[in-house]
Amino acid sequence: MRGLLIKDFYMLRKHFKMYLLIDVLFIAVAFFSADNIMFVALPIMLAGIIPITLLAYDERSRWTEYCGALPYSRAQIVSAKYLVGLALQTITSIVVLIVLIIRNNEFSFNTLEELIASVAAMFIASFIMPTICMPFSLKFGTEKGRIIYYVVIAAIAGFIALAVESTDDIPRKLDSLAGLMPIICTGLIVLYALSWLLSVAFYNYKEIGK
Amino acid sequence: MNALEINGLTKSFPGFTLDNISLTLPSGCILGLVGENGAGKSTTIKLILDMLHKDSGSIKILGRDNTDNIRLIKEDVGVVMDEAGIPDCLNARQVGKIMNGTFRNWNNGLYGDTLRRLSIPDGKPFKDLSRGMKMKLGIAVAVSHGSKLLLLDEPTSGLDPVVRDEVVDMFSEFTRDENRSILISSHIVSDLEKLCDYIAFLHKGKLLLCEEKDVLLGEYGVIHCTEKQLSELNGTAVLHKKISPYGAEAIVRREMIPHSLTISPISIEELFVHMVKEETL
Repeated sequence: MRGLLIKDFYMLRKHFKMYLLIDVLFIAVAFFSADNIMFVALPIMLAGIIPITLLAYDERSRWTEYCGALPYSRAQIVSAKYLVGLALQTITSIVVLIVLIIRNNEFSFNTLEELIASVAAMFIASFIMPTICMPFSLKFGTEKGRIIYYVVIAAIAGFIALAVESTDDIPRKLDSLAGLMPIICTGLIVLYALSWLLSVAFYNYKEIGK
Repeated sequence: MNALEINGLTKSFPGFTLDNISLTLPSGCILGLVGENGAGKSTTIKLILDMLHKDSGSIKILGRDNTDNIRLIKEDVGVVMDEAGIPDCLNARQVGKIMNGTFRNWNNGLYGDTLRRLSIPDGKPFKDLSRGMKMKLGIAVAVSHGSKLLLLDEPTSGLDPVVRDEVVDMFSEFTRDENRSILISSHIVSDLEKLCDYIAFLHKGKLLLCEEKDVLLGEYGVIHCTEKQLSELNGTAVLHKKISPYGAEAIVRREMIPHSLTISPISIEELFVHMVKEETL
């Protein structure tokens, strides 16, 4: 699987300069001025969807077909994409964590544990998009998979809008959910693992180059 | 041992069926798969590699069933697809590093030598290479990991005649080792005629024939005669005829032609065109 990871590394280095720029920009804004957690959450969320973009590049260049002729199992081909996503989410989260620790006084975290828990929550939340979109993109191709991607974004936006509509005191509401965080996090990790298994199953039956 | 054994291979798609294909490629030989666009050549190669799942039949690669740990089998198989399939931003040096992490028997030295021999620039992005260079890069990868079998899908299409000749020589050289074999598909029949030991004709998903090239060329010929001379021949001796005001030309079975008539050698292309037309009628 080493060859697949090296290939994705080259692709990232070439195609994702803009992504890196956005990351640096957002983290820099968070570092120097803003007391806004969204600025640091976005790069972590973006990291989660990069494997889907990589899949789209693979399809366009017909690497998907060529790769089917190379000595990789289909599980390895799928797993490489999940690994790349996981690595990017982890690295981005660590960078964000370091930035927040250095500039903790700018944010409203009371303790280091609270800060770490917040980054962990962002890290876990970044699993939502790949968990849902990867199996669809692998089964139906990234063009059709993109529809699911937009549906998920619309669902999240709708959920947030509903939450804002239904209560005036969102911070207190969120505090009341804090106790459920371990369950939510565990649930998302389990779903991510199931998503990987489902993707492998879909890809095993896929007709490559049909 | 046979490099490739295909028996009763069938695969259906809406509007197309690859129908009951059986062919054998002995080790050390080159088999040319001739067919027009859409005949099923690429489908056959993808089925061999288990990229497409067959409906029925069996495929053995180097003596092993292709559904039995295909990942391991692919270590011994070099593949060139009709589109090379290498991402645009990668250069030949990076492709080498990727393949070094892919094949157990990857030979960096041989890859470098092949790049130099085929004049492929190692630092130029794939998107900036000509179609010929792209195919040559695919070929360089296919021959640099100790492959025992090459599966080549239209590797010479889009190449200029000089490069095609160079590539064809390379394939001939590859099979000097009797443990190495090639299945090559193309609709440029002249290349296959020059290169192959065996020829298979594929038309609309059906295998019209699979035979040793020399047997085919020895069995059939072309005669030029008058219309009257042609009409005197046994009907089964004539496969195809073309009559014009200047005389008659016919593809014939050599053994059924009287010695008084001169038989010219037939080309595989003429034979293929004839068989396809017969099938269409």
